[in-house]
Amino acid sequence: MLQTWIKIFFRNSKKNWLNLIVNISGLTLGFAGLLIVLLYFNDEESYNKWVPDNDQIYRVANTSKQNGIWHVSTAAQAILFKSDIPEVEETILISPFYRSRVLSSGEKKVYTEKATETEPNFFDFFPFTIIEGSIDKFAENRKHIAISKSLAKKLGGKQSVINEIVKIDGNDYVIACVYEIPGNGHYESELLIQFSKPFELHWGNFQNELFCRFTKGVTPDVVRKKMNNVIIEKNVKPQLAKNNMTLEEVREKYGIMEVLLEQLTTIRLHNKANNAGPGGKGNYQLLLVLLGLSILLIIISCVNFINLSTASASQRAKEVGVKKTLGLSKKQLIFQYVFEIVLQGFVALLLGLIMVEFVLPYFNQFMDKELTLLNPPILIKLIGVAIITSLIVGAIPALYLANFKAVEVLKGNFSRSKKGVIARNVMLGLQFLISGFFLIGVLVIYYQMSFMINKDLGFDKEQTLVLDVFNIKDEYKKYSLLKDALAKEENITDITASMFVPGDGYVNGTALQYEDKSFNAASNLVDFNYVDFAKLEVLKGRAFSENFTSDSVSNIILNETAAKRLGIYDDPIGKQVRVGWIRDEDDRTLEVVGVIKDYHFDGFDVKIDPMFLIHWKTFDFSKDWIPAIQFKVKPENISQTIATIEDFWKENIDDNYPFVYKFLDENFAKTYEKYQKQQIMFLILSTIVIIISLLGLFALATLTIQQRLKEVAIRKTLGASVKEIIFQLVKSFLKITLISVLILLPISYYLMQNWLDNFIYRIDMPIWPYIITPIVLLVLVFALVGVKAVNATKIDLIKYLKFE
Amino acid sequence: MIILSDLTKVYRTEEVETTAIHKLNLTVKEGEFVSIMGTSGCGKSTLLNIIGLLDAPTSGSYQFGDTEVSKHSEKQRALLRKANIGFVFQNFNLIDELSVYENIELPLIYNKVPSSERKKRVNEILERVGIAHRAKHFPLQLSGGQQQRVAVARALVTNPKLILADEPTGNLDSKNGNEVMELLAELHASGATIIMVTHSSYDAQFSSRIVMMKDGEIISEKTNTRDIDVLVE
Repeated sequence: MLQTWIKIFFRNSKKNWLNLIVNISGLTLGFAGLLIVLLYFNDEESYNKWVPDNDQIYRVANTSKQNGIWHVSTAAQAILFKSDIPEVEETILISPFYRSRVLSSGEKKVYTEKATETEPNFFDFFPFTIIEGSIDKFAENRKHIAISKSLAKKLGGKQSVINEIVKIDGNDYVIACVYEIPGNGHYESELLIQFSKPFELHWGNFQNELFCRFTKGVTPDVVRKKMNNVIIEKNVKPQLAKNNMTLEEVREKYGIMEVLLEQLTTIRLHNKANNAGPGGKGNYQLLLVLLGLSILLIIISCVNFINLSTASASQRAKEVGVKKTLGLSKKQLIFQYVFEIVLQGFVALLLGLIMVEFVLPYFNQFMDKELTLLNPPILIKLIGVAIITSLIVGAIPALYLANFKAVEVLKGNFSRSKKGVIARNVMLGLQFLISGFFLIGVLVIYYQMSFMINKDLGFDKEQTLVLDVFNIKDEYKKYSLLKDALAKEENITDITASMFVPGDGYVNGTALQYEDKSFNAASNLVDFNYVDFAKLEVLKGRAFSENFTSDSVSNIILNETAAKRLGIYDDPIGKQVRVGWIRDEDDRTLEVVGVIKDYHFDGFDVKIDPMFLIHWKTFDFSKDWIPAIQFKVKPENISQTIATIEDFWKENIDDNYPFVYKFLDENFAKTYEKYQKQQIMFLILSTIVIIISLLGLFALATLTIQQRLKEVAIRKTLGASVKEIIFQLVKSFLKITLISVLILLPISYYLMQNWLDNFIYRIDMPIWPYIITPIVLLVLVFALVGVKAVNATKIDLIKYLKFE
Repeated sequence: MIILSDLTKVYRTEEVETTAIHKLNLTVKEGEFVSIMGTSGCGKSTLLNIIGLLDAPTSGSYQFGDTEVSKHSEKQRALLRKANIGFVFQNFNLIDELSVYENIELPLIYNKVPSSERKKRVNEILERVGIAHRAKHFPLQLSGGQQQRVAVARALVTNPKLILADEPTGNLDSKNGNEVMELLAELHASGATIIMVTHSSYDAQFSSRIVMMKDGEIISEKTNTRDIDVLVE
């Protein structure tokens, strides 16, 4: 029996090869898309899942009315939460971003960009797999370090490096253990180095990430309330007397800091604080969009499948009639057709797997991932989806076919049922709807991206080379030395330094205060020439200048937002403000000498925060804190210029760390890379979806027109012109398109408006996508169906008038 | 009205060459009702298709009225057909999606008749063939006889010079078949020119002349002496 089934299937497919191609290619793309998205989703969700008891580990974030949500905490919280709250078993402070370090052993120097500072109990929270050495040894002494397997290999080759002494920043450390990280994690450090001494109880500095382990079965909200209580009792209340205020007054005026708890496994995708930590932030929205799109893709393929199968059913009606006459039961018939469709589903699944195998390397490169197809749980899920899809898609046409009445069909009285036609039209309309939405989406995204790329950012990012400065001691002195020497170079027009480089994604913040107004502001330490160098616009007052001694002692420049929030925008010059770096007991103030126009110093998708500029030398601590030096270079001989800088740098400044540079425009471009990737993904998927829809439309048009050939012949005999016949055939398709467009426009408007709302700086909804898309859809439908219709007018009249 | 001389139609496929009509000569005068009879495959339908301008002869001459049409292009034939010929088919060839009224109206639309005129003419013809009460029904809701009346009405509505009927009773029972034949006879009586292909010698009795065909040639012709009572049940 199976043999006959397969025989009939293949012979039928030969006749309807277009259907077969549309069906299988649609499902193949659908399955492939879903598989890639599932692999990606799974990878993103796997972060920290390998950590034992991960449901008991929480990161503490802090929130206050004025300053938003920080992902870092104070040492006081780490100490008091453990001592005062019984539900908190253990706490740990860990540096919130990777640092770079050079390890030297004899002549050998090894560089890593992923060094993490931590406390001795690190492995209690994140039990990496120990390959050599021991955790106890690491915890024994603060001069003991742990390194990753790859770093150990770089350092010692095949030889063991355990107990070896290495120099880091001039100090000696002993390698206590070598580890491997079991999976994606919050920390993927290559070097774990310990804080030099235990933390003291201090409320001032929000410097490190704080993780807590709760006892089993504890409700996090209960602990959160207790933590907030600790803050009030141990930090806020003691200060009340000093400031002569009541708790309610403080709450009213400044707001009181509260904690937010983030479970370890949710930080990557659902982080509450703006910063997710060294492991980086996942793009949950993108994941959902991709998942949604791949599901839509499968739906469209299924719609094609059902449409084509029911539409071509009339061609197989006779087979059904004969089989029923020969005594085949309805059940057997249904089984046969479902079998055919499951067979096609299986072929599509195989092709999909092969396709993913080929596409995955490109996808990995694009998304910076290491996904592999060898993921049994995901494959099982996909096979499940394939089986369920095939069964659903198979059941509808099978029931439709099996319900044909044998006698009627054999007599040739098979006619199209009205219900069937309506259902098919609705499904076709649904496809137009989805395709149209994709088209509009692609266009709106394109408009927003062009807006982002071309928008005036408020600073000059062209021809700017940024050189990373590592931990090299006496940084300001060395910077001055370099500036004096290289300023003479013909191809370097200007040199400057600022504490953060636009697009780096890391901005330091501290309090900014004027009279009773105080809030957290981005702080930027700069050289005298920075405002001119970056071409920032001075709105009021002036930029810093070497001609004013006070500029490097007691002056400050604010951005527009900062001046407005301090309430001094109308008359800022000469106002005395304080910043968080000035100690409480010090009554020093800084004088505002200028206000600059807001510029996008922290990426395009971040709201411009209040910010201030202070000269490097104003505070003692900052003189050794230059993370990067910026050069304006001439476009000619750039490689020569870079070589000149490198030679000077290695010879006179630092030859320990690698020479790392980047261009500012490229660096800034990283801030909208996420959206560009969304754009590309959306574009690829849209193209696939539209192609599948059009293929489906083409096949469906072919079939329905084939069924209407008799009608065409009659009309032609009665004197209809070619034009009239084509119009008659295309009319119904155009009607479906028009109705879909009417439904499409408001839905897409709403959804795209929502998408645009994700952007702080966004375009007004463009009108063009809503005009172009209907036109494109109508033209495509007209063209595709038109071709078929023109062919239909050339039929042999006699054949269709005589026979049906 | 119609003069066919030495008309030949040859069908060629890659392997075989079939002569459907061989050097056929036939004249049909205006107001005549001619039946064409013969066994299956004798070429009678081919002949009707050529007369109906649905197909072109391979050689010979075909004069329709005063015009020689054997060398006409498909487009020219279509124009001539639309203005002058009405068709009635064995399988009715109605469009299932259109109502009775709309089916009949169709040729008027293609002949660019204004809508008020169309309405008048469709209603007249509906009355004439006796299916006015079914105007809003769809073909599948009618009996075979009623469907064929609709087809006849559609053939008549443009007032064609010639009506061609291809086995008009072939799909009907004898009662319905009779009704349709009476309708054609009435049309003939009122002056219409009709050419009908039929297997049924009973139906042929309604016509004024019977042409017998065999192997693509006319083997006999006889003028009918209406010995049939049109009211016979």
